Amino acid sequence: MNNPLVSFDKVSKKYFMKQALRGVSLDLHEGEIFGYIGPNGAGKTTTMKILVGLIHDFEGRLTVAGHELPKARNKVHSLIGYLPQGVSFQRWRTVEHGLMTFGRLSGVPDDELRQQIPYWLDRFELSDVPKKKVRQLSGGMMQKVGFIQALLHKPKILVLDEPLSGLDPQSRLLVKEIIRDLSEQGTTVIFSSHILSDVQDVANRLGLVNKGQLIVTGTLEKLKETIGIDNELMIEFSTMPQDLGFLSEIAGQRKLEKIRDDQYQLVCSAEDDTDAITHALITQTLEHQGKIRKVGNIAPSLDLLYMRYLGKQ
Amino acid sequence: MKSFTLLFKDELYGFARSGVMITLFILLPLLSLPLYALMAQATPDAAMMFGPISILSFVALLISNIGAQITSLVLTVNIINEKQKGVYDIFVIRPLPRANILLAKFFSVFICVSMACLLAIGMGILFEVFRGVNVNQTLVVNTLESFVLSLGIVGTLSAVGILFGIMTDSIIVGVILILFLGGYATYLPMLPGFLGMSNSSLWSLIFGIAGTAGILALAIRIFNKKQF
Repeated sequence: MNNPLVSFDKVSKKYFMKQALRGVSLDLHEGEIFGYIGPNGAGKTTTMKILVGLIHDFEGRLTVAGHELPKARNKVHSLIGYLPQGVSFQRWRTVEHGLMTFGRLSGVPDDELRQQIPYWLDRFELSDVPKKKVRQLSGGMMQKVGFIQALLHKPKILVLDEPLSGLDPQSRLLVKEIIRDLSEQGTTVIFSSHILSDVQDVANRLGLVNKGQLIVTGTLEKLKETIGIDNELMIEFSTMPQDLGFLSEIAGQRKLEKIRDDQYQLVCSAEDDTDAITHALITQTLEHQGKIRKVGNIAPSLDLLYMRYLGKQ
Repeated sequence: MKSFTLLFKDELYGFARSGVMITLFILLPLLSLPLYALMAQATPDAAMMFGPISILSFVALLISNIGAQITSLVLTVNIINEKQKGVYDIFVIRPLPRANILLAKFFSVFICVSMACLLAIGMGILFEVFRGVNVNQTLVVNTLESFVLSLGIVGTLSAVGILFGIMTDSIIVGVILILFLGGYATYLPMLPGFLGMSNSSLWSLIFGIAGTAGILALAIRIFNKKQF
């Protein structure tokens, strides 16, 4: 794999008596979408603030595109776009004025901004708001405008703290689509969210942080392995078999649950060969004159993984 | 420099849009009129009290003091408010020196309040002319000297407003600090006058600039180290 664009090496941060981050090591690569999850106060926002240079007093080493933070703060700032949690502009600004100011401060020429701003406003379905005062915007609209200010200078790295909070379902879909598009164009995205289904939808890789420690990073599969969640098989009959005894035989010591009259769920351990069990379920159903509507693994949702992990804690 | 110019224009625009600038431009000259009238009636006493200071100079100083107090309060509250709302989060992550954010704020406020004071002094001159007072060279020089002193007061108090805004996170604490400690900053440019130094106007200007620069440098140092 290429050199990481962002590299946290044993980064720790302490606020007075509270250890907010404990030796976080994490690499982010070009074009990847990294979903950062964890309970409130786990250290997500602290990690992001360190990455964008808002917090510069930390232990460990952090490099962004080869530049070390906090020393090369200004160089890193031109590479990063940041949407803070609960983004806010001065209330007297109009949307257009605010975006022009932030674009100019990021070094974007005016003629480029005159193209970029209408483009992004249109993309975020905000074409009718450029002359509106910021104070007249709803929370969701403000969130989108905040997102746009992070994009105007075409950053290589986009740091989004709860980008989907306060958005209606339609806007959430839109923002997720935009995040995917940006990633396809090579932008590295790190984002946190409490809406885990959204993280699961968008992220290529996940990181679970708790009590300041990065517990695990990787794909959903890796999280599943690390957290040690059980495999669950589901079978749904369209025609019931004449005898259901084979289900208990296949289940053996495993937990068999009846969900509905025509639907059963089998909880397997991580070591079980679920392919062989699925095969047995299919053949036995057919042997007992049954027909199958659905059969297979139930992919554990991120919510389930997350709750299981926190439950174990 | 480019980011400073941009931020400075932005602050001026914001100052105008927020209504504070308009209020100062109207309020200060308007407030000066009854003060001039009041002082004109009490001329003999005033003359005894203030000696060589003309009514014009005295009211100019009073007005600039009131204007600067209001502005430092507005600055402190404004900065604390913006910090609480996280407005600075998206400013300080841009490739620009943090100092420029504060300097732009300071100069926009300083220029606006100084202009408002100048307007108030202009009103005073008109008032004197209307009253039939001979506006001679001494009166003009006196008035200019008090304007220089006003600049010192506005500068130091604006810098103090910025410093307290950066230092504190609570609006109530900020307001208390300004009300109880802010006023002491005005003594700095007045000190040469109190000490009876020769060329006191020049020294007032020097003390004012030095005090303002010192307070601003401290505010910038704190802001540069600040973690958001």
